[in-house]
Amino acid sequence: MSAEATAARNLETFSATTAKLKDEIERVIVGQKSIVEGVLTCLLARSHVLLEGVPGLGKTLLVRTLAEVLGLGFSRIQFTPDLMPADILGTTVVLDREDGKKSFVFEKGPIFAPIVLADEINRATPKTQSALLEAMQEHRVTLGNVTHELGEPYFVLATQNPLEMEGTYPLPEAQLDRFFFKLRVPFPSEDELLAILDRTTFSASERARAVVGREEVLELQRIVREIPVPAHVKRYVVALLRATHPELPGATPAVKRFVATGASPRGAQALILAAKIRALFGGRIVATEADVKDVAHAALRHRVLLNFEGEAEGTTTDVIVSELLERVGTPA
Amino acid sequence: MKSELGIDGTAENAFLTEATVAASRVARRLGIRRVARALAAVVPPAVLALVPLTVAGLLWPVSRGGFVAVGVFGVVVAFVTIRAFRTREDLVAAGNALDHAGDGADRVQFALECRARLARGETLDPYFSLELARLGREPRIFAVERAAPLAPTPEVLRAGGLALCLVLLAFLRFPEPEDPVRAPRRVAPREAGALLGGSELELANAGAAELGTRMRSEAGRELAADFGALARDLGQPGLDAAEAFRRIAELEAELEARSLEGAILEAGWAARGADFEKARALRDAGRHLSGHRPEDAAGALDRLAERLESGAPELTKAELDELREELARERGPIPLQTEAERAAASARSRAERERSRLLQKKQEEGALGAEDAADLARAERELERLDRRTRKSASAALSEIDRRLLEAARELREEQKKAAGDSIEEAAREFRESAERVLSDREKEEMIERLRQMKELLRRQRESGATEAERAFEKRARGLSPEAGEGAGEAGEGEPGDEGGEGEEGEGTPETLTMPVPVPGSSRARAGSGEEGEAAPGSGPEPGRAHDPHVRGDEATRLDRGPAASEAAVAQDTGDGATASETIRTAAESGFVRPSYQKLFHEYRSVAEEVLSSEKIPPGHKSHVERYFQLIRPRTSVRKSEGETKTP
Repeated sequence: MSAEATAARNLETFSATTAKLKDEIERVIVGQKSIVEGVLTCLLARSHVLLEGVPGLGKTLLVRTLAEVLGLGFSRIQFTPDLMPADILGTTVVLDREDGKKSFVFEKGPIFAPIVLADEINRATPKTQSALLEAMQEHRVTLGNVTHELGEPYFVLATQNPLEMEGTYPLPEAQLDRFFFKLRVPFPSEDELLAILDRTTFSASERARAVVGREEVLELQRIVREIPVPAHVKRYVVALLRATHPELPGATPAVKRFVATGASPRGAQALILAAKIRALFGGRIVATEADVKDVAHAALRHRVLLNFEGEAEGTTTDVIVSELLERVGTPA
Repeated sequence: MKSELGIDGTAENAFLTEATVAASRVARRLGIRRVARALAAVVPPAVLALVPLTVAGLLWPVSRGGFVAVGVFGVVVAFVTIRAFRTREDLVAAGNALDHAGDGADRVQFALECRARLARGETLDPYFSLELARLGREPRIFAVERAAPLAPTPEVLRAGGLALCLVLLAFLRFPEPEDPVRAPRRVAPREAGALLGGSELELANAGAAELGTRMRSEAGRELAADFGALARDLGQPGLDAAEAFRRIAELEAELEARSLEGAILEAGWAARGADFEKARALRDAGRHLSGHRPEDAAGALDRLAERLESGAPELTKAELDELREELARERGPIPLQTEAERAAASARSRAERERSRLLQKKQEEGALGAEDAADLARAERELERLDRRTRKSASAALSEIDRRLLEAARELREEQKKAAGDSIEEAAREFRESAERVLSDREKEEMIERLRQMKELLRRQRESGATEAERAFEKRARGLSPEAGEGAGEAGEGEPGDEGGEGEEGEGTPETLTMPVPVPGSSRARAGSGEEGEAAPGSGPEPGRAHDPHVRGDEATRLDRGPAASEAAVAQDTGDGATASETIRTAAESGFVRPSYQKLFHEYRSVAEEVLSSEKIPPGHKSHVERYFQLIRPRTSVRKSEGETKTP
């Protein structure tokens, strides 16, 4: 089979599989298409997502549904201030063996599930939050001298409530940077709300079926990485990323004034991968600048840190990113 | 079939080509926009920087600041334009603009990347190949105009407006204020080497133009054209005074020749008119010809021709017989003793005399100088021209008329009335043409006057020094102070318009007045005697007629001899040599010296006239002398003799 035929088959596979995924999720989740696409984008990019929204918008339902349609295990961790890292990662316990002897056995924590929902992650202490770092980045957990692989796919969905700031611990920059996207879950529209009522106020709520297996997810992730990106799109992403740094020449006026730290290279990676996936979702093969622009807010809003003046002025990172998209063009 | 880039599909190839072409077009348009932007950026500060220069040029046109500003501005614009054009707009940027103007699918940039990779010999990624194939199948619309619109932006319009203002400002000129003291005369300056310039040249040209409008006949218009050419040449360098006077003389000779020609023609018309009056059919034409009205005669002949051709009213046999007889009458040469002929004969005689003199000189001296040779040649040419003119023009015209009339007579004999009518019409036309060759008396006078004025102008111009003295003298002669100018001599002594009665006896010191230029009025009046005038003593436009009682001579030397002793001539002690002046003792005597001056004036004038008539003096100098005596003439005698009421 020629390379082009293989590529065509891969694209066909991607299109069919993601269509199945979306359809099945939509059977359970009303509306929130952009959020569903964003979550799937993060999954296919082999990364993680941070969802921000008020309680009751279906964040947990989305995660559970995703786990169901993927036929993967799912665990939920409710982050609280007294949550300890061991509560997440697991701990070594003394186990009485049948021969009467005792031995230490590592009891895996909830983080070992392929899909993890870290609910209200900002309520845990930074120490506990940091316990997720290695798992999210390396897909493994090191306890003592033993490293435990988490397996593939591994997908963390974290949520945080933007309203309750008291008693919360903002995520450290390093932690934030490990999230591929930060998605703001919008309040449902009127029609969506009506549909939610219809689906959730009857005795038999709809449950999703497993339509995609683990191997298929890994195949989708491989296809995404395989597709090339045109040079001008890469140049645009680089220009965009550099423009988030106030100390660099391409910085926009708003960045220079309100931004303390720009996005890391992970931001550029996120932009490229997300643009590719968005193009594929749209039935196209090659990502464009428009795709980059569509995913820029989700990929950069948590990677750009405002300075004191920005915080004081009430500026949001979304405003900063919007200005970047407006001012930064493709370098020749 | 693979393309040169190694692409299989035709659609893909077409897509790549079209995208590249579109990008190239956009690149060009972007280049133009870049130039416009660069100019829009540089023009406003350049204009502001150059405004002082421009204003300087506006205020002091001689500084040429405005033109320098425009020049500097042009250099700046050219530099910016060249620099902006030399910065090549790359295709990637053009593709980016094109994609942004489209639907955001980045087709062009993708196509350019693929093309670049293929051009480098790289193999396209399979996913890129698939995308290329997909794009090749899609309809392609490249929004070139939207990607790089060429409509001027407000900045460009503003810069253009500023540039235009600068240029207009640089070329703006306010009319220079009239400076009553320093304002130059609005006349063309005399060109170096030209005989006439300024107001004199304008006067000559104006005279030529006026002459042209007043000349009605063809001959007159030709003369006027020659006169105009002469007037124009007088303003050009290269024409010396001798040559100018020679050309004037030529014009005079030409005028004489034309006059002679006119006289011959008029005599010929009269002779033919007398003959025509004998035939009834030709009587009207005959009367007109006898009265020197050839155009009316031609009209009568036209009517006769029409009668012959149409037969209405038909001519009787007797009328036809008379007509044939008169038309066929043999006409001999016409005896001419007119004034014009005499003038022409005189001119011819002068030319012949000159020719004879020069030839004699040649025989005596063996060779002529260059100037004499030229004069000889000129005299010979003049003779030839006069002969040719008088021989050819008039007689030829009359002969042609006679020939037509004879032809008509022959045709009538042959009963060819229509052909005879045509011949008579031809004769009428010849009459009209000959009428055009006759100068009217008015035209002649006009031409003579203009030539005289031209000569006077030339003389004045040539003798400008003498002319200044003459003007000053004229002022004195009119009772004005040459120093004070016209306005200073307002009062004088005596009443203006008075013809100068006897003055009352005055008192004062006997005074002598050396009078190389005897002037009535002013000097004498200031000397002392005269009736008290209403105004202060001084000079006035009129001669005084009384003494000033405030000015009195010394008692001891006073001459109180009454009116009879009021004039005396005392010989001046001039030694042994001759003297050109005469001393008149008058001041302390009563009355004026007018009788004495009149006598003196007439004596001098009579001598001058005698010399002018007997000696060979150039006409210009004669006029100068005449003008001199005209200026110093005693006013009363002029009035009495010429009946003038106003002194010029």
